[in-house]
Amino acid sequence: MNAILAIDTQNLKYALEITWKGMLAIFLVMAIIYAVILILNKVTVIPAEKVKAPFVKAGDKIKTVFKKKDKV
Amino acid sequence: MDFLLESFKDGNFQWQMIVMWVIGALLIYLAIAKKLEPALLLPMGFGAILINLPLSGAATQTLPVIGEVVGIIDWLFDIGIGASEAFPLLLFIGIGAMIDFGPLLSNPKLLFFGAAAQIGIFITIIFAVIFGFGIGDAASIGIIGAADGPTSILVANVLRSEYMGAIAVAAYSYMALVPIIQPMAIKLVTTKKERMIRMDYNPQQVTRLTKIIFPIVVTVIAGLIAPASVALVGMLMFGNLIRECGVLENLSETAQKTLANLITLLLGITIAASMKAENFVSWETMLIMGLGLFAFVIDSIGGVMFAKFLNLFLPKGKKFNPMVGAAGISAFPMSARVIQKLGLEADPSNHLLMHAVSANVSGQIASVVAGGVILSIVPAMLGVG
Repeated sequence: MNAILAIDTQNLKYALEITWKGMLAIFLVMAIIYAVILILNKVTVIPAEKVKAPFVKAGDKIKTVFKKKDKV
Repeated sequence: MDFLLESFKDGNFQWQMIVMWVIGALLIYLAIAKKLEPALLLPMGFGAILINLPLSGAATQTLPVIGEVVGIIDWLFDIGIGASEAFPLLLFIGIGAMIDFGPLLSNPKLLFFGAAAQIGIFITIIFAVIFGFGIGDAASIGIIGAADGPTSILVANVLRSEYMGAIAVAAYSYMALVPIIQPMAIKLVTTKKERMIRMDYNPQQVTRLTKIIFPIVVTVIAGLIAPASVALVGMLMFGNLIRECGVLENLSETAQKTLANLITLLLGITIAASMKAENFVSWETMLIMGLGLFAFVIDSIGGVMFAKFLNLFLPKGKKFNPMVGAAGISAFPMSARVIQKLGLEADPSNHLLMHAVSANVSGQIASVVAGGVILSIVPAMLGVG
């Protein structure tokens, strides 16, 4: 390290360039990831109103996953 | 009986070594008595003593007649960090396997807090240059602000910084000190009224398919924009894919526990190779410790100010609690806990934990992307300079 506060203007230019490019790249990556998550959440989540339990009339037999021989 | 005093002959013993013993003892004390990042500070502290004994067999020595004898710490450093960056990268598999991105996927707008809280890295690079460091060293010092030890070590190694030891010590020490640094920084730029802002929590349902696709997509996006980040982001997301795929429970558990513990153990003691007295005991080390602290403070303030900026455009009742922005640093889960604690301090019924966790895991992604971006930009500049 040279003398403290002996600013190298070229390095300072580089540092400023790293700063704006770096922040831009990070925000860009995050923005794309954000858009992808929104799409994924839209595509993969089944809306609650579409998830309906089958209508069962009073007295109907209810289908279960258990077989007769299973003791519950 | 002269051979018993070999350590003290011909300049084998330097006063700086005693300073390193004290630093080593201090790190061990902080690890055991204060429980500050003990898994890393203890091996680093012990390693600092081990490597700084005169004619230490743990370091590579040149002996008369025999020639060079490779020491275990130097060997571990050469193969585990110097030649391949294997240790920090492999550690990311374990970290990825530990992270649940569910809260973030359920509330993705908090991703941007992770990006904003990386500002400390870049402001610190500018200040490091002002203090006279070369651009490679300045970038390596700035990355302390990623609040992510393995990323700091990896970037410092790739950019061939001679200050890697100081950078690693600063990164891990300040990560451990997040519960002290962040409240101070946050209170500096927020009012009690702002800290009391409540945020609704209505988590969306996140499917397993989303959790599986997410790590693959993030790797591809980060890789296309910052190709140098692929190793970092890729290993993190690989670990997360193992966790979320649902068919590799054993591997996931191994990555989270055995692999992460083993690499942490080796990384801690190996980093001591860069803590040799002749390099470490200098004014630059003090300056790096100061710049590292500055980076953490600016990260926290940057996150808070970004949340405040967004609040200017949001209606009442939809505003962010600005403290959540500070959780965008990578120190997980300490930072989220700090925000929850500060939220409860301002209003005992205000729970911010889930929002803070979302911002905190986004910080994990943003910090490795920041490391990758720096590795994409800086080597070209070093080539020119």
